[in-house]
Amino acid sequence: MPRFLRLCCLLISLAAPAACSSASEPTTVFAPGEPLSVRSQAALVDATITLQEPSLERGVHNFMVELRAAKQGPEPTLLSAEATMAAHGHRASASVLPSGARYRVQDLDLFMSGRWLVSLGVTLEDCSDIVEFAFDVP
Amino acid sequence: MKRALFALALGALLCLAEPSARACSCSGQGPASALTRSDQTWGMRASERLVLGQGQYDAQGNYRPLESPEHDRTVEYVLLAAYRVRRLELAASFAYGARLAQLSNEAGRTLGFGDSNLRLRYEATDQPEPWQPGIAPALAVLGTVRLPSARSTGIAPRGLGATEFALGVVLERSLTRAFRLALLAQVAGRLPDTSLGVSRRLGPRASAELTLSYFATADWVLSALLSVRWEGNVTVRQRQQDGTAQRLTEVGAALSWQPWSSPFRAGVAQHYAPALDVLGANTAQNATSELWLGYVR
Repeated sequence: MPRFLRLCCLLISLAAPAACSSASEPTTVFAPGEPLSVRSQAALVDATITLQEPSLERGVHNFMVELRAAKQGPEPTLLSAEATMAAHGHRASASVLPSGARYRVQDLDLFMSGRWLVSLGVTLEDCSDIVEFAFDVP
Repeated sequence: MKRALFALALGALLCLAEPSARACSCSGQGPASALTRSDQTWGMRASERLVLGQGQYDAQGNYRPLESPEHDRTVEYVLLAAYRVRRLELAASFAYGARLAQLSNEAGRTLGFGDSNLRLRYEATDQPEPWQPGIAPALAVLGTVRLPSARSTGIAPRGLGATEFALGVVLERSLTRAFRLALLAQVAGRLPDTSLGVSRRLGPRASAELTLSYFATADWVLSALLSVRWEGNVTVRQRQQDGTAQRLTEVGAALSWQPWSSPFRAGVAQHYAPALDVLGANTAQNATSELWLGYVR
């Protein structure tokens, strides 16, 4: 086999696995104007997210999070909130403040238009889990 | 040395005498072009690139311009070195520069190396000579590895953050004595990385670039460019995130000076993503200016 073809085969063998992706799961996308209900990845926690602003735009946002155990159990705890635009390496974090039976996530700066993936770190008893949803920022 | 000079002189003479000799893969107008001609051995090119962010596209392809005082600017210096072994050109490029961004309430500045590229370009076939039958274009094959040597996170990242392997083909054909058409098609895959602190795999990339070059004189080439790029959904924590695919369409123009009789090369290029809905998604809209100086032997 010519040396050049061998080089091509090597490049193809390197590129092929790099092009493969894992199975797709539909992302829950926040729709402005109505609360979003989403279950955590390990199905431990149900979360309801309510945006504080009347519309979703590029910039700083605050939202309320209400957590419930998916099955019977103690109240879950919200530990962290961050948003990533992974394809661009962008990350925005927010502070989490308890507000009665809910949590207030504040000062989340979605500084770029496009789809942001929001990850809420939660715990239920000794188990940690992640609640994920997306903001489509115009 | 004498033999090299003789080859160069003979090449220049043949080029002047034969119209099709202009139609070599040496336009230097884009990332797919060879820096060296077949009668040359090595070359270097230094370029300065300015990228001015003007707006952004959302996931649905709606365009929104940046608002004052928002800005997103990059200045980058790239050094490319190429070495030719007959039909095979090996090249490596290294970049250093800075990106300053202020978007919404966030601001950041990144200074340092850009991603590094290793490229292999093999000129597989030539187009038929004018006296030969056939309309087949010249074919070149490209293999590229992009190495993540740049900072790739924050508000002003300058690199991918992942190793990218790309394969491409370049088809080039002279239309008339003065016009030449080139098409580059490329696909790329990226390896998983953890640059964001969690497992991530960037989606595959496919891109195409059409270049129409006008050989105004023996030394000057003017080109018009049209490029489209698509990137698949990104995968985070082993879950593919639908709706994160990117696309972008750009137009451009380039002017280059590449005399046969001199080892020096120079050129300017301008790329622009039209600020129109649907032409992009999940990405930034930029205007890019590039100036380069080259030396080939």
